[in-house]
Amino acid sequence: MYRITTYIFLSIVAFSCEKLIEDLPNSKLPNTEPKLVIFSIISPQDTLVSVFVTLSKPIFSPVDTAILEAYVVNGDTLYFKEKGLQNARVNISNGSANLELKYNEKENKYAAVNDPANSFFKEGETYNLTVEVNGLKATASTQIPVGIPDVSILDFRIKKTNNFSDNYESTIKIKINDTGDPLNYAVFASNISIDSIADNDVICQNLGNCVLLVDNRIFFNDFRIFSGKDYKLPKEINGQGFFRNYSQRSSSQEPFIRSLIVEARKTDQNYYEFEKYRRSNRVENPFTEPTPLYSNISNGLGIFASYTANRVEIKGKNGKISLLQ
Amino acid sequence: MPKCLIIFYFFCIPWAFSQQHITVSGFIKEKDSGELLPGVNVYPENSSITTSSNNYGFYSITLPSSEIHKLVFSFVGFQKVIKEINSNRNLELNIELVAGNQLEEFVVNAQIINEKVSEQVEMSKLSIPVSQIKKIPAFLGEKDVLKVLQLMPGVQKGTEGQAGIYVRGGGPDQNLLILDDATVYNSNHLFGFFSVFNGDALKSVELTKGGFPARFGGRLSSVIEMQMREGNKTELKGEGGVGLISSRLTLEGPIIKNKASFLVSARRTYIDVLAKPFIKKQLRDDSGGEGSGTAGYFFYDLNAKVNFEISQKDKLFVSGFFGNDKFSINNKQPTLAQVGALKWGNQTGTLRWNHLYNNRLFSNSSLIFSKFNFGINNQLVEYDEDKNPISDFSLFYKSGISDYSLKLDYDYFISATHTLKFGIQAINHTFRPSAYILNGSDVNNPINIPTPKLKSWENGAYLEDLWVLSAQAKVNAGLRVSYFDTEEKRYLRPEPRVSFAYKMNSNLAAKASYATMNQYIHLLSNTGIGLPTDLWVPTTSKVAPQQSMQWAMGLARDLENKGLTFTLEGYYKKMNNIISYKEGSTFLGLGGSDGNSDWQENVTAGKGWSYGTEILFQKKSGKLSGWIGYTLSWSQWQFEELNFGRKFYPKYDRRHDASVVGIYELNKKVTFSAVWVYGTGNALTLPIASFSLPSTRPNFIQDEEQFTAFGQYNDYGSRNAFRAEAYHRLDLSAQFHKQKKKYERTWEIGLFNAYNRRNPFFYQAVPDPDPKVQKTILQRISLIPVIPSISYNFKF
Repeated sequence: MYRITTYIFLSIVAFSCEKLIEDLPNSKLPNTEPKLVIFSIISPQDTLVSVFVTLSKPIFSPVDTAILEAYVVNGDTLYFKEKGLQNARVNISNGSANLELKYNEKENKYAAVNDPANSFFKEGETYNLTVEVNGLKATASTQIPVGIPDVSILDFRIKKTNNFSDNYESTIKIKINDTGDPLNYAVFASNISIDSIADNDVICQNLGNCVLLVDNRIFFNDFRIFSGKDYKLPKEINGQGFFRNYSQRSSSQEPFIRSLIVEARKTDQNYYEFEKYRRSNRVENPFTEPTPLYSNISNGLGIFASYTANRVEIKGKNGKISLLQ
Repeated sequence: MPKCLIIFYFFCIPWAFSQQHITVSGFIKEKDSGELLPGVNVYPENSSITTSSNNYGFYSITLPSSEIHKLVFSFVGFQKVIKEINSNRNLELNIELVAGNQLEEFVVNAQIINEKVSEQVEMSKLSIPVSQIKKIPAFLGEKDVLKVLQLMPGVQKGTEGQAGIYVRGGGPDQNLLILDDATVYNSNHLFGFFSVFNGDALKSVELTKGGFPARFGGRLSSVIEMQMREGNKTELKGEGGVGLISSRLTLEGPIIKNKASFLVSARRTYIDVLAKPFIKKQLRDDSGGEGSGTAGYFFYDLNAKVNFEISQKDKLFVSGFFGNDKFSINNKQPTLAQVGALKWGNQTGTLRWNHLYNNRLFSNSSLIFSKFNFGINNQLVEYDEDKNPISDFSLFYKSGISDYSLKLDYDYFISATHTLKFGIQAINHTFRPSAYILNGSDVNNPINIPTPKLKSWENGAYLEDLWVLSAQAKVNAGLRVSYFDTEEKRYLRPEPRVSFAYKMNSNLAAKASYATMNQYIHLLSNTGIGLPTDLWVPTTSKVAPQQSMQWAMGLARDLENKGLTFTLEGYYKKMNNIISYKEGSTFLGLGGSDGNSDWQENVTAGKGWSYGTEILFQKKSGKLSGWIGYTLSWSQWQFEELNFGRKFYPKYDRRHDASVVGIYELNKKVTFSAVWVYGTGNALTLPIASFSLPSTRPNFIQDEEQFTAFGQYNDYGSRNAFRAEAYHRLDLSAQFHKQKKKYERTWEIGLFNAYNRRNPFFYQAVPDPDPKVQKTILQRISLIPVIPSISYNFKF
């Protein structure tokens, strides 16, 4: 009896040590068909209107490598993205006229030239996008905001973070005001183009990292979104950039600034919601629930949105910015 | 006019009744220990008049003076007592009941009482005898009050092994857990695998999930009221146990015989002690023999209570609960030194004074303290080969809540047809939603966010009347007025409550209830499983109180000859202003959609709906006892800022939930028990496809697009659109009792998850390990396989 009991007990212990990770069979996985993925943000001021059209990749199906293409970012990092679908019918309509977009193989997107002086796109009008390909059809619409935001640079400074440091920080103060319809949703971006101080220098900022290295220049980008619920106009925005000297050089040389550009965009709600959700979606945090990405595409994924913009650029003189020029 | 009504109520009705009636009142105790017994049914035979003892064992019943009455005192698991009343004057009658397991014959069905649910006006109320809780199989042999409540209809568990409970579609924050009048804010040990409540120290456990009486307020979904035992007033007694992960010991006894007693009950895990040598060796081996250090985890809890009977009319109780969990690491390697800890804990304290003004008016006054704290600290320094520090990192985080409150409750047994309960409560909350410091040489953006403490007052006043309308109909109608005062805004809200019962025959009653509830404090949770990282935050001018309206209808039937009770209930609950984190926000206050660190900016409010049907067959005593429960339910939430404003199923929406619990007392020496549970899988958000998109950021240089990485995104379909596999499990246990010379011992052998069901703990999408197949596979991670356990318990 004791022997039997012992065997039973040992069997249970052995049984309990079996692996606790198991692959789910296909029958228990969600059955997902590829969806059309569309990306297009239009503006009366753009010289080119473009629409990216791809297919989503169901996660639990074998990857069709034929639909992927490799591309390189920052000169050395290899990425893959879906190839654009080439045989789609892409059409933007304002209810009375149509604009047919043709596939541009080099740009891997559908495009049409837009003359800002005589644009197909008008402020306040609603535009409908239709994409048809391989039996799939997706649609979306956007209403272009009315009025161009007023933007001005109130202050810009660059200085050492402290007397004992070789790191620099910049501060910028911008004012955005409104014209036309109330500015319900807005995107604000600023850019400082700087000659690299040393090869190992890295630029950080207070709202995410947007570091680009092109032709030995570093572009510091500040990119924010606003909802009309959260602010009153005119709104002043303070930005801060931080230039860290990773090369541990002893030089006290200031960053050489080529230009300072700020751009404010008055956007439709789709643009704002997409960008808001995109930022949440990108957060890789085990404590957060996965965030679905906003989409206004019927029968598809992605975004069709619109904006009007105002850009102010100040060129640097001998590597310095003067607001009086 | 209202003043006249009050005067009429308080003076005229008792006076009118006193002319032809007598009042019998007193305290009901357990004979052996002198422990006061709450919830004992008191009624004259062959009469519709009935009452029950309150939380402090006091009862009062008014009877016609012209008759001879046989007054019955009955309580689940105790021998019935019948007293003949033949008096035309008010009578003080204290009663002692004998527990069923102390009777000479082991099972005396005719004498051991099952409560009659058809007699009670309340509905949606569950009580489980603590003695029964101790016989139900448990994970690793650790008896757990909350996990037993999870087995009742309308109450659902969260994730595998977790003690968090979800009542009628509400979250774990919507349950008011009261231990001796004190709120316990975090009921979890070991991240929810065990609850903080030690069954050895408890006298009663009662769950109300709907039809809330007006005396309860402050949470939307349930009230779990637990009373600690007072301690044996006649002799020194003790009980304890040695289990696989913890041991426990309870001592109780008289300080002054039959006047004052104490109870101390403690429990501690010894995982840290057992694992210490192995961890030390591992850390030393990891560093090639040059390092040292240790790491470990433990929890403990301590319940203590002292009571003193000052006079027949005055009793004083002081009780406290202290519980802590702590993970710690102290690791010294040649290239790094790390000191870290994660700890959380509850403390509560209650000072209570019972006063009997006369044979009809009883009061309880309580001064209560409650506190919950959570903290993380982690400091790391890295060294080069010459032992010079090259980088450092430090993280400190803490959050918490503490309360001081005053509570006055009155029970006024006006007449045979009216019993009033009224009272007031004032709670002073101090919240520290979070304080967060992140620093170090590698931290680009050091953070120091000392969130200020938030203070608020939560007050309530209530009046409820249990009114016997006729021999068939009873109603419990009441009103609670709640008031919340934050630093910026004040909220005053009425909360009407009503329960109605109509007896269709001697064993069958139809019931209905309605309750409005307001909840002024909220728990922000990323996981919904009751982790200590969840934050308690107050209602503010930006964050409104949560509110629910619940309607319920049902039938209650007693099958007296079989000792069975049957209840069938349907409910509909609407919830407003329930709160949740915004997409991407966490308790650390980082990464929210707008990068906000203010918790108020990281939360969003929405609505919820929950409805369903619950069936319960229950047998509380006898040779075979237990219950069968089934729930069919639906829950949906809708938030403007979540899931694009569309409705979605919350994680713990459960279509079917069933449980079968059986306890079989083979003889005085052997008890078998089994539990089988089944539940629809959780609703989860799962990636179903991926895609890439370019940036929406303005371009500042020509052809910049080609230098910009396309963002990779997942398509999740909709929030919580994937349904996990169903959960089911069978647990078995056998208890072997033996009476020794000076004590009774019990060996318990258990088998948790007896048929080794691989229940999902979570799922992960990972690349297929086969390099020839480029696809993602979904893996189910299970946590608890079949686990045998053995424990030794003793009682003297």
